[in-house]
Amino acid sequence: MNRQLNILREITLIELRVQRRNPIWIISLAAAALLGFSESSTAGVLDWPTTNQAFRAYQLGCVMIFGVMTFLLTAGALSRDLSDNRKDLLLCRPISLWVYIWGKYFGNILFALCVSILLMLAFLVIPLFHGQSSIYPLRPFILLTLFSTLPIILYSGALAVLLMCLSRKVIVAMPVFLVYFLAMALFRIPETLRGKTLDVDMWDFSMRLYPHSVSANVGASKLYDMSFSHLLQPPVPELYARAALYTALSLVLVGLSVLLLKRMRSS
Amino acid sequence: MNARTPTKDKISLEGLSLRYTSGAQALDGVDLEVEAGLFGLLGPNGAGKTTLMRILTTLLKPTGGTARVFGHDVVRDAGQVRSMLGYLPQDFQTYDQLKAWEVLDYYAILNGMADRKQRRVRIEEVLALVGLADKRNQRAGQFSGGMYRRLGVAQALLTDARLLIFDEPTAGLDPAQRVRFRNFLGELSRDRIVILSTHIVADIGSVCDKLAVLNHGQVEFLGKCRQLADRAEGKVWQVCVDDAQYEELRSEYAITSMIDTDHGLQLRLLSEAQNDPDWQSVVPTLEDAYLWLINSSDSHEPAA
Repeated sequence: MNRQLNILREITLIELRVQRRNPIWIISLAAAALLGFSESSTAGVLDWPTTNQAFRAYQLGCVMIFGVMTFLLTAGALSRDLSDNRKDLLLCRPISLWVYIWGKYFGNILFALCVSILLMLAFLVIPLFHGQSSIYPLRPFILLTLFSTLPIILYSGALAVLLMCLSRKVIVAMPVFLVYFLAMALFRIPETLRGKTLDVDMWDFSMRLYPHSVSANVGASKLYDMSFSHLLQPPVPELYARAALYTALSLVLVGLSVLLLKRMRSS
Repeated sequence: MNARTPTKDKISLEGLSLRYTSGAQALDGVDLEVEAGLFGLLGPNGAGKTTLMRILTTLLKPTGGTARVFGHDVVRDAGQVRSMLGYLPQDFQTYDQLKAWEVLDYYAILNGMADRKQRRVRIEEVLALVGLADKRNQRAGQFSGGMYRRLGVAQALLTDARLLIFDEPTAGLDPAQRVRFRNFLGELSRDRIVILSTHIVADIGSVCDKLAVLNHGQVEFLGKCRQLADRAEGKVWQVCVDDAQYEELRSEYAITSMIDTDHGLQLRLLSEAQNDPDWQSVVPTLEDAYLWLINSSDSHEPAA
């Protein structure tokens, strides 16, 4: 057992080492940071409600960027071992496939999480570039990372593992993954048409962290109030439930992937 | 084969068969024993060589018969078989962006080597063994064809495997690299079983102690290279002909070589009897014998 855990740790570490050289994360991080900084330059900083808008943009950006990035990194990592001319080299080795898949999964999840923290740190200091004396408050960003970004990283990674074990080709897995985003949007349309105002939408990773009901009038417009004073309140309980649901679902998907790979080995 | 060699020191196949779900019979009752040394596997495309190697590497389950590697059944004790195995597939590809030592480190982990220090020591040993010690920090993607192959061999040697299986290891190498590489395989086979599958008969003839020729999923020949060559004694002929005669002979006989000389085309052909007084009997090479065996095996095969 101890030996298996050591191998799991080694695979996780080597995955971090390999992904460190992957240009995908650098491009993603650069794109997200540049967009964030340019958005804050045009919208203004710490100036309600634009701060709130910048935060919402960051929130949605994290979902899209880290969803796709985690998928690409994880699928790429697996395709290197599972492609037609390489899978024999993996499957004829004595390693436990449970250890292999979980090691790959943890490595990529951990890597994506580190990049998301880097992005968060880059965003936190934005006000300093605009003559402010303090950075953004940390709490909403941490909550967002824990309950919005991390679940999508876990879920996208798990989906990548499953789709790669099924198709073994990124080119096949990627469109299926994008269909997931489409499905997410489709789930939202009926809700919007019905005028439903769920505090937490179980299918939406953009995660309204706080109740919708709080709103404020700004000129002629009615905007949701997500100023920092409100963000410092505890999030709604459904948030935890949703994060737990997606985490559990991710674990199930990874478990299923191992069984698929075991079946491939003993065909 | 030496029946006294303990089962735990050899590979033994008994009535090994594999029929794919499509109905194609890839292997049909193969009986084979392989002991320490370099063992060659020859056969035309679709003969069953790759299927046989995939069964030995636990990647395929046979549908009949048994295969034992050092006494372990490849189906029941697949885990133990994998731990004694080094495999170099035909089209070895790896992480081109990683340095040579990092590639080996990755495969060492997949081989279950959890201890980092032990891994590093073994990687240095293996890199020195394949002559890549000074290239340890070079990225695999920058390697030449020969160096890339040697890196492939290095990954197969990481666990000090008792059984090495190489599928077409010399494909794509230039002649000098090929000679160096097969000499290296000869050195490796001193204390372990090395199975070499190839289409290049010269590679088998120059390094293998024994060989098996597979055709249509069955073993057509099993023995020493010289024995195979002897079998074709009196069946290989040499003759000088013009273009018109060449066309005539080509339609009737298997021609194993053709050299354009000042006196016309000098042919080596296979025939059971001397059908022309101008034909001169020549000493068969391993390649002649192999082609003769495959030709005669195909002619006895009932039409599909």
